[in-house]
Amino acid sequence: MIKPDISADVTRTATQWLTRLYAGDPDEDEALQEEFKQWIEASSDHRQAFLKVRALWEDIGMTDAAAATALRLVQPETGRANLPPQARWRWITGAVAASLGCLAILLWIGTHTIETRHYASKVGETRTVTLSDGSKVTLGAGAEIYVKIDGRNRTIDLTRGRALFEVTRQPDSIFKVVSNRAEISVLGTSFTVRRGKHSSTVSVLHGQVSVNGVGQDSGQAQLLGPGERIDLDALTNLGEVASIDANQALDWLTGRLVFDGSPLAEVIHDLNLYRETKVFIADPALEQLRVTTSFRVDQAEQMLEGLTMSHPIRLRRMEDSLLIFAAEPQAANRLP
Amino acid sequence: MTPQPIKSSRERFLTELFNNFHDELVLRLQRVYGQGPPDPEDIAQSAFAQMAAMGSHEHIKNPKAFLFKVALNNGRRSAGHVAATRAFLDEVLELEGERTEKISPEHLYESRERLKLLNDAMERLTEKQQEILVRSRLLGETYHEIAAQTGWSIATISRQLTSALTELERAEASALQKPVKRRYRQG
Repeated sequence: MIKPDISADVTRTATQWLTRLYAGDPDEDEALQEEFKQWIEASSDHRQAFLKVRALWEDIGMTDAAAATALRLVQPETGRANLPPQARWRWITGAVAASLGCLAILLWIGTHTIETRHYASKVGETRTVTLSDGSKVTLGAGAEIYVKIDGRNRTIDLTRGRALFEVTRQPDSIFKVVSNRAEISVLGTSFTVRRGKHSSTVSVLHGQVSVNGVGQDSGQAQLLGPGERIDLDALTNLGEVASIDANQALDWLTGRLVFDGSPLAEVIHDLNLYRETKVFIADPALEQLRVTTSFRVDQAEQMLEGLTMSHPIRLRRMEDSLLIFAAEPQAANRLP
Repeated sequence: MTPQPIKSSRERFLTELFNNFHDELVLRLQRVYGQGPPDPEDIAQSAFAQMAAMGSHEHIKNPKAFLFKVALNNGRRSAGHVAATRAFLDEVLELEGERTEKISPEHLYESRERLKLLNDAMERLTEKQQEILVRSRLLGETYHEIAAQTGWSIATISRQLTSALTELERAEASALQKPVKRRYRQG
């Protein structure tokens, strides 16, 4: 609720801030966020108004009206009649443009190779695929990539899991991998990318790669050489460059996972890529619990049992899953 | 590890719900997200886990609808720009010691009346406002994606979203004032 002592103008400005921040325009992110920080810090009323608007924004998602509208919107289109007027015009002009463009496309295909493919590995499975440029990608358990290769650009979207990339060098062609908010660019080398729940980790085996936040300019990129590793979080903040043990760098391909002070949520996220019986953190407060561990995925339950000795957690097996609760009974019974 | 036996009626309730509704929930989520990302299976599982973590489920009138809404909210949080914005806001607001962890849809069980009021206000919005609000808030679409889906301009989307939120704020504010007026008249 809006407190009467906060002016309507401040509330309206807070609302405008929220709609700008959730617009999802990466070009504006940095400047916008800096401006927002200044506005929030300028007055306690600003903060108060924004917190109220944000609470409203979050709560909207739990209304029946919102869920019903979401379902209505995702119904498969049955025809052009369902399109709004502007979109219908776009469809008509698009159809005309498409037919005119066919000749150009046919001519263009003659000189370019296009590959758009989707590859995925199953839970617990690893799989190697060779792309049309000769590069090899080894997918770790439960991993998934979308590949787009044309004459100049090679772009891989890692949408889940870990992958080892062995890139064929092509002087005029950048090989780019996108994972969460990280963008990794190389010419020819081998490196691994782990897409975590929110973060990404890049480890280089040979050659040199450039790591950057999606939408950031290349001047902010971090160069990594052989034996180096870096994390990039959801805010595109780059961590410190760390060393990797070359002997252990590919352990995940054989089912050994290593974490050094990582959030429990990231450990469980990776573990579940190897398991049919999923593990869930039932108390979100535990998600950021820092864990250092090294284990074989087929011995994960022994590892989790070990964690109950050293961390304030307990385990509960459900019908088809394993839940992690906070150790104190009251903590487990409160809401997330 | 020695699994603990399922004892309480709460756990039996959850197990039955999981067994009876899991597949249906995943199917519903596949209608929204296809094969992902986010993976419908993952967000369905998270929704069950969050429900399991609640002490009591008596306040939830329709557990299936509740699970679906929790799963939709989980799915939307995983959208890249939404996760980044949430993380940024948490960081900025926590810098001054504000408590933001209560800002989650799941705390709503404490305020069912507020949710009902919000739902009524949502239904009074225009179809256009509802669509923009839901595409942005629940489906995690960027304004550019909404523009591509609907043909509306970015400026229109931004304006309509601000108007919709302002309407919902007004509905809440007027509800807050009503009991005060009633007491005044009675007194």
